[in-house]
Amino acid sequence: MTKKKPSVPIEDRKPNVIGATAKPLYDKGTFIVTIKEMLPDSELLGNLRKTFQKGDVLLRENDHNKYLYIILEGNVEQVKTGEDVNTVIGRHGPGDFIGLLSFQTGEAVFTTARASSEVLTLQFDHQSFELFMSRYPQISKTLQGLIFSNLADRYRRVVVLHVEVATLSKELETERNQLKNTIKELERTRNALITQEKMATLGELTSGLAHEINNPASALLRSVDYLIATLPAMAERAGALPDTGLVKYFFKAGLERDFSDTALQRAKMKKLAGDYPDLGRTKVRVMAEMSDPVLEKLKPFARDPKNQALMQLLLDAYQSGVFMNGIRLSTQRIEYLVKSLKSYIRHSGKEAEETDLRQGIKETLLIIGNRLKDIKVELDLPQIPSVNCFVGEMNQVWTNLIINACDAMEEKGKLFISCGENAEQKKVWVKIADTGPGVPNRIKKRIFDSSFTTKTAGGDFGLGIGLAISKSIIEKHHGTIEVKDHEGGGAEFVITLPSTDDK
Amino acid sequence: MAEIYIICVEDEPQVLDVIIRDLSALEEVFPIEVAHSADEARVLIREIREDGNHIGLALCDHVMPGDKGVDLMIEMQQDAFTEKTRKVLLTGQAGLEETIEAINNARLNRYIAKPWTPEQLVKVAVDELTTYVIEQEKDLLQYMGVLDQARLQEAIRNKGYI
Amino acid sequence: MQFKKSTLTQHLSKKITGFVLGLTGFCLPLVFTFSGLSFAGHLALGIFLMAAVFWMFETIPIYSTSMLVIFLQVLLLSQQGLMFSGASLPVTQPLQTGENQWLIPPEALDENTVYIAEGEKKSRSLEVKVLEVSDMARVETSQLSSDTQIVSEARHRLVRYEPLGYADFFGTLASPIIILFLGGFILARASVKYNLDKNLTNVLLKPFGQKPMLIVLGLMMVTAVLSAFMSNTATTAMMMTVAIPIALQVSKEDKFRIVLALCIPIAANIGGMATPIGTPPNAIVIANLQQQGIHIAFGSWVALMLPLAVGLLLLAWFTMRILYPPTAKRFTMSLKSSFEKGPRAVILYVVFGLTVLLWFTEAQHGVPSSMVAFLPIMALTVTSVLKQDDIRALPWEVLWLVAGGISLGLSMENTGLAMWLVSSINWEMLPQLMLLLVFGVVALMLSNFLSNTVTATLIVPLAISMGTSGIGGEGFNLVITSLVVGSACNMAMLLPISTPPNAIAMSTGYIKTIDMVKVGIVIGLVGIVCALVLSMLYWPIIL
Repeated sequence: MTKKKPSVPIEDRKPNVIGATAKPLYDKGTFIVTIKEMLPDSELLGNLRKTFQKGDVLLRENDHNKYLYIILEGNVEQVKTGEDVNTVIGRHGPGDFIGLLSFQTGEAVFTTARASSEVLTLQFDHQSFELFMSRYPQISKTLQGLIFSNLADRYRRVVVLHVEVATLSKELETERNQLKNTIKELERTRNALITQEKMATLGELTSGLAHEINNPASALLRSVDYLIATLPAMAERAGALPDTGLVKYFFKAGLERDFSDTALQRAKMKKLAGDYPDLGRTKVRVMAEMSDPVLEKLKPFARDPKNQALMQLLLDAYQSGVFMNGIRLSTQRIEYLVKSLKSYIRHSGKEAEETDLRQGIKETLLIIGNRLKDIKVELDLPQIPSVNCFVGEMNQVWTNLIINACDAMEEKGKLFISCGENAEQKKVWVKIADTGPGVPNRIKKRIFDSSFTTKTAGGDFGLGIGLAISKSIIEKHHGTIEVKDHEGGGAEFVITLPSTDDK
Repeated sequence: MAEIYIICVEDEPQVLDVIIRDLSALEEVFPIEVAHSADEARVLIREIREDGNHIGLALCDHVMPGDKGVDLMIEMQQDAFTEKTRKVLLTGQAGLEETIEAINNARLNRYIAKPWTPEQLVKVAVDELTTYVIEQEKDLLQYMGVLDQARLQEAIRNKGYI
Repeated sequence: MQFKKSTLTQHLSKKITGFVLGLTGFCLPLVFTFSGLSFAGHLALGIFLMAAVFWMFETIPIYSTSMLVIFLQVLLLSQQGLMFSGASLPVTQPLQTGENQWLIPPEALDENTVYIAEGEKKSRSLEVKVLEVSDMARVETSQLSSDTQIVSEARHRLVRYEPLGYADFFGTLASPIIILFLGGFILARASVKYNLDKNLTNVLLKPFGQKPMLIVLGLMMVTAVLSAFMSNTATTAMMMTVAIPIALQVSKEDKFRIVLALCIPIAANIGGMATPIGTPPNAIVIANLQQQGIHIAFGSWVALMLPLAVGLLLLAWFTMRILYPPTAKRFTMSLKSSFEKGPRAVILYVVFGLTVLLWFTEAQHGVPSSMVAFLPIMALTVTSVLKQDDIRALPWEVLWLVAGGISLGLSMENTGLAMWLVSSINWEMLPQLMLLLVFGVVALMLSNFLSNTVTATLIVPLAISMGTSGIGGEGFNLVITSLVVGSACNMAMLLPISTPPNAIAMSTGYIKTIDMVKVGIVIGLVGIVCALVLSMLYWPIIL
């Protein structure tokens, strides 16, 4: 923006501010014509004539100036040097003065004046200026008027500038406030989104965990109830048996029971029910679960109606074994789950620690196992160097990626997880691939944007910023995440992280 | 005489063991059969149908490999043979949406959350089977030993034995 | 599976056998001619045989057999039916050849009987002494005159049969006894609807305490009382729901379960004897006597039968007590009664009480019980105590069954079939008591395999015709004989198939057939003896 441009319209627009007349006090044109007429005859003026080529500097900023120039032909621009930019602040033509202030006051030059075309000037020094004034008193009056007019012009421009700056800064202030609000808003939205995503992951986790834990918990509780009810009576009756070793045998057999296909089981039940029509279904069912050698041992008791009490005892012993085994398995599962969960949510946050990435992947798989019931998971996880990372955050990455894959496959398909090492670059990589529809090329770049989602708002899980979060976590760990096409369809996410090099 | 079966569909053997145990009091009247998945359940249902028997109650886990419990129940609801079967979802976890779906499409009759108490499970089974026999069976006296006596008495008195 | 198939084929072959046998029975009298039996009697015999077979084999449901019977009667035996609509008696006049000696066509002679026409469709028989039969028959009688019209064809279909109008057969469905039953049904239905039966049971059972055999006695008494007014089947079903919770308090092996399951049907069967509306065989007896102009009042019936019923109840109770002595000391029963107090329930209580009162006081006011029975029919429907659905739910098929039975009895008498059947045996050798015994035992045996109502339908007309024909002899009382037959029908409870209450008891699974047979034999045999004793010593006093 040049200074001249606004100055003219503002002058027009706001005459009241300036208080100036429409016409300059003294006409520059008349003055130039007069000077030019005098020029061929006057030796003084002839000596004062000075011509500048385009680009020549008339005055340099901060220099001391001894001359006053009056432009007769051509243009000169005034340039002010800022911190890192040069701003053209004015353009002067014939009749204008250059160096007026520094010439009169002796102060350092304020702005650089440079010829923007071939320029013809009259160059006065103090001596010649005095001379000129005394020699041509008839024009000196005009010259003084012009000087005054020039100064008035400058003053006017300063006032306009002040007003302009005030207006601008006011606008700027408003804009700045708006921006501030927008940023605040953005931050809030982003936090909300992140919270939602976290909640969704949390919801996914808790509902999965509820199922994973409630199942063994049910089995555990009920088995214990059953044993509490059965064991005392069993102990009492065991004495009646000719060989108490049998109880132990059946108990052990129950402990080692294998669950077979239910159709086979039914067929076996039907056959047994035919062989022993007097036995109730409950007994026959237990018998059908027994392996053949165990069943052989039971048969003598099953056939004899007088031995029903003993038969029941052996069945109870077997069942107790079954339930005891159920308790063992259920407890183990709960224990394992709790362990995994503990390590999964170990949100150290403060300190990154050296970790085997595979550990976190396995724990994640276990905890969101309910989502994977119909998905075949193929793991290829060889030994890799450990990585310095925040375990909890990395687990969130695995969770996001695996759940994304499940969503993409609509709960049916294969999930491939592999890892490896790039020893030269001191990096490890993890690949998570699925057999879903894959990621179309046109959106590959965008899927890590926090605003990107392929899920409808209010959809079943997350808001699609899972990948964005994952990316930010990975980047925090100085790693990279990218998406590729998996061989044979589906998407493949590759995560590369720097390994801790202590091998 | 045609028998009325209880079928339990649950993928975890340990859980299935305790379900059978809890319902064993009903077994003298209502034989119990089990399946580990929806696919096994389909085979089971076919076998029961081919033997000329009926299914009075289906207890079904929701989260299973293969088809989910709700899917199986919707299927049963659409099949004339199992339409009248009382359907109970037994699960440690099912989202609200799935529950709504089950109630709307599978005419799910009850919902039991894991872990359950035996009293709770038996009561639900007894209630549902009582409803089933009152709706479907002529001769109700034989069920008085195991099912809801008061409701059966009402039904017997009102069934037009007069 | 295997089992199912075999029962299915068994079932099917039973149906086919029944169908073939029934048709054979129907055709038999049309192919063969039985002497002494009129043409119409042959038709009635055909219907009788077919109905008996169909009832026995349950080829078709027993009520539909009744409908078939009425249809065939209307078609074949009514005045307007195929056989008799255009028919009239062929007549001729006898030719006098000497003092009391007449020449008649030999076709007009039926052994030593000729038939005198008394109109187009009516004739009466006249015994004559046959002197000679050649191309003409010469007979001797003092009863003929030369202008007497005699029937020229003794075998004509109208001889010895005066056809009834078709409306008479249809009318059996609205016969007074049917209306009496309908009244009973309506009261029973309303009682169930407003829980009167349940509440009465609980109130009545309370005084019997908690001791096992007293509880059983209480159950039996209450069952008997209820079944005297409600159907035996409904009562049994209802009372079973009271007995089973008690049975569940003892172990499966405990014999007391047998007692509990057995006492209910027995008491229901016995209780049904006590009132005219207790059970359909009573209706058959009363309807058949009605046709002979013998009216038995509601109260009289109760007076006749109550001692027998009470005696049999006690007998059954003692028998079971000996056979299956209880082990448990006491039982708990929840006997909460809460009578409904709504306006409709109150209407029911009033109507119920009034109806029963009027039934028992017939001797005082003289209004027949059937007329009284229309009071609840009217009152409970007019006041909307019972609505359309309730009326629809009434056991109409039972009414059809009884109507068919009454209608068949009508023709058995009317065509002379019943008399022909009883006269084919020489009863005179038998003393009066033996005669009753034979009827009782036959009815008891038949009724154990057939529906009680059906048995009564088949036997009661025979007993009646013994009396009307005089074959039974001097001392024969057709009322007493009918009562013996009727009660014998109700005493049949040997097998699960004997009566619906027995079948219900079996369905609990607590009893085996042998248990039922043991008690059933005692009740049947001792019961017949008791009935005979009463018929000799007590019934004549009341009648």
